[in-house]
Amino acid sequence: MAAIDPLGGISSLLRTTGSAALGGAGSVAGAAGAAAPGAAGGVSSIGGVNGTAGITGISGGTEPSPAGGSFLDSLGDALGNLNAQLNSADASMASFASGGSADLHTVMLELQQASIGLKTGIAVRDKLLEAYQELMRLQI
Amino acid sequence: MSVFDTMRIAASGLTAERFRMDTAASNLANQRSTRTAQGGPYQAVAPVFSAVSLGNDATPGVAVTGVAAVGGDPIRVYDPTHPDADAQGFVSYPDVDVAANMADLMGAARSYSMNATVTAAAKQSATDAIEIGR
Repeated sequence: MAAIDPLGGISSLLRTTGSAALGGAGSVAGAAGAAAPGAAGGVSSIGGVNGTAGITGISGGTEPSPAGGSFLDSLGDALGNLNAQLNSADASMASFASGGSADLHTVMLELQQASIGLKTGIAVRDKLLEAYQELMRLQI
Repeated sequence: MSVFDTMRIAASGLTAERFRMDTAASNLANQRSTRTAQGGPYQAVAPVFSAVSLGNDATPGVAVTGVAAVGGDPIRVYDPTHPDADAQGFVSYPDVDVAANMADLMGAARSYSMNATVTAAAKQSATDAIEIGR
């Protein structure tokens, strides 16, 4: 049986959303960085364009930082665990259906745990999207 | 301490009670068994449970350690026509206490429900915790 990855999409969505938010914040900082030297006047304001380095936050989204302490990394791990849980519930359900030795309550509990994990994931996603939309509404 | 610890502990209880029902069912089914693979009549059994750590020593779950033989010597009934009758015409039947096994079966079924209620409570708390975030 091919392993199903129903959460891969959500995971990548979250990463994209998160990185967009980070990138957005970075570009805001970059714009501020560009504007401030400009106000100081002179040709040196061109140097202020270096402020766009803040946009590198986007790459931080597509490939997680190796430091491993970021919120998105732990979120990705949690989603990986959730996916494993869903797959395990799927496998025990299949094993039970094909006459395996699994207890009925074991199968049901695994399904229940997967269901709770999924609900948690969805709640976290809702929160993230909410935060993202809040950021998008920011008046600059 | 994981969110699902309560569920795991209750699940071990569910498995143990299922096993207890199995032993009662086995005792009742073999009430008249005069032959076994080991020879002689069936010997009634009772489950032996022990507390085992499921990751947290302070809150252990339960595990089936094995079975112990219960009941006394076989009951000798005079029936010379029975194929398992001995030289004196007596047949040895297992000493199965039917009433005690029925009571044990009911107790196991009730305990199973009890553990299922614990899992339902654990599930409800988890759902409540998610609701906090909404």
